[in-house]
Amino acid sequence: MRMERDAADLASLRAVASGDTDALGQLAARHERPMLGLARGLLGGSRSDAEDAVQTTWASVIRSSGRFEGRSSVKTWLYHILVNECRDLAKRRRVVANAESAPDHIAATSEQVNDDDDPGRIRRAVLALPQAQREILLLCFHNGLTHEQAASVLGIPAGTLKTRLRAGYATLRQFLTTEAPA
Amino acid sequence: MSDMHDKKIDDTLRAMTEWEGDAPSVWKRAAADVKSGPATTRRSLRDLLTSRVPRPFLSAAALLLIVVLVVAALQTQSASRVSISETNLKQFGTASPNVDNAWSAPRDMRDPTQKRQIQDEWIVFGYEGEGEPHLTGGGYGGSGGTAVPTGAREWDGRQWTEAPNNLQELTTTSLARAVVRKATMQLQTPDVRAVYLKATQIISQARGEFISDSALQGTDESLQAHLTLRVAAERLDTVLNELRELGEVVSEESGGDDVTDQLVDLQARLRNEQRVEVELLELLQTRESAPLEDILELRRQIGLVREQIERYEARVANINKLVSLATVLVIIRPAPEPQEEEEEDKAGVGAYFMENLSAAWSTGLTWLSDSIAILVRAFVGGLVWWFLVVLVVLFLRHLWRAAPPPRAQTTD
Repeated sequence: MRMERDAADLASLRAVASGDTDALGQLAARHERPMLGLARGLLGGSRSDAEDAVQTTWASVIRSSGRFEGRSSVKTWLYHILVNECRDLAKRRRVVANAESAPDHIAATSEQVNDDDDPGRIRRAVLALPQAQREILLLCFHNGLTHEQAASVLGIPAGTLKTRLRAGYATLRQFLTTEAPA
Repeated sequence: MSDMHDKKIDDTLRAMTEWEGDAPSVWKRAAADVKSGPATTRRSLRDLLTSRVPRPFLSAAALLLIVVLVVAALQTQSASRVSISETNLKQFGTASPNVDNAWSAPRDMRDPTQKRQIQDEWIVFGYEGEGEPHLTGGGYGGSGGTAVPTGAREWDGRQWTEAPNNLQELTTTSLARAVVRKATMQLQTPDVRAVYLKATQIISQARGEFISDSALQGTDESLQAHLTLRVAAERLDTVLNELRELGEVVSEESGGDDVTDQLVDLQARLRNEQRVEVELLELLQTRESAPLEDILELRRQIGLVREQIERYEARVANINKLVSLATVLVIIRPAPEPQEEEEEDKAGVGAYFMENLSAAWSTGLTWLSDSIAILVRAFVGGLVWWFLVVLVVLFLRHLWRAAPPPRAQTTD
């Protein structure tokens, strides 16, 4: 199944390289939504920033599609570009520093954002983590990526990823337990 | 409890990476942007670096820039020349007067014209007579020597030796050139009068040297002198060396006029006239019974020939005299007064300290300005290279970022 998806992605990417816009749509249909989600998480919850990052990612994909050498899966390659774009965008817009004043906060499915509740505090804690740990946490808990794929996206060994993941998770757990609201 | 916390963390993290609502199809906007052209933002540079079309252009532009820089550097090196200081030329002149420089380029004895010329020169310069002997092989003339046939003895500076009979064995290095030598030297000295007097003592009257012109003008600080020395050509170097020791040489020039051809021509004409005279005299002796008019006409012709001979001889003698004596013009000027020494401040240690502090301050400022100049020079001079370095860094950064990560080892 996964191999079939990879093959389909590769075929779509080849078609994009030859100028087929519909192939890009096919690729986007499979990956754009999870990419937007990941980008939003990396950029502090801003939807507009996430759209900008993904749009730029697609533009890079279109321009670089002919140079894809197949050393990794297309999905991993897409997320690799996306993560870099999010880093650049975050630097420019200082998302981490202004996370609490971001115009578009994460909205839960059925409840308003409340920084005083646990999810809000966890979000705040995640954004306060070092960038490397934050990216690892979000990538690993992203529904679209496995740990191995996350390690490939970040360009680090799987063991390193797991180590940092444990460290970040432990930090969040400690934060949650020590700063529990009265 | 911890399980509940973990669950909250997991749920929150997943929620943070989920996209609520419909996907806005930003891929369409991206495709439209790519078709319309790169954005004029910072990303446009990345797009420029990553796009297939601009990258070769960028590479070609970088390569062209490097080629231009290399060519410009080579042109700059080849265009730079060590220029001979005009001051040095003026001061030291061209090559110092040297007899050997009077020699002409080697001539070919197989050439009949050159051979005849060589023969004539040999005839002219090989003689024995009174006074200073000629030196074959030297650029000297004599004083009023007469021509003798080939095969005469030659003077090598120490003794008379038999001249070689086979002219083809001669090389041009053994033949003389007649060169009228001239030199000009300007001296600077605190005591103009003393140097003037010493300069007048340099000549050697025994060698026929003399001062053709001299003058001492002005007073005190404006005192100047000039002398025109006529010295033996072979002593020119020695005289110039002695003059250099008298004062500071401000300028020095030397040169020579090659009058060999002129002299050879005169000698040839003289020889010809002498032959004509001999023939006319023989004719006069054999035609004693000729009519009076013929005899008178013959005598008149002999007179004309004799007149021409004496004219040629005088010119030859004059040239030989010019060649034998070089002309040295010496100009003596007063040296500028040295700056008065500042009066020493004898105030003691305090003054000494302040003086050193002032000097140190000046030196420090100089070093500071030098350091700043070096930095500015490095920055401005290497501006093109900084630009290239930035390009390379951006290019490599892009490669690093856009390069697909290593193939993931999947477990599912």
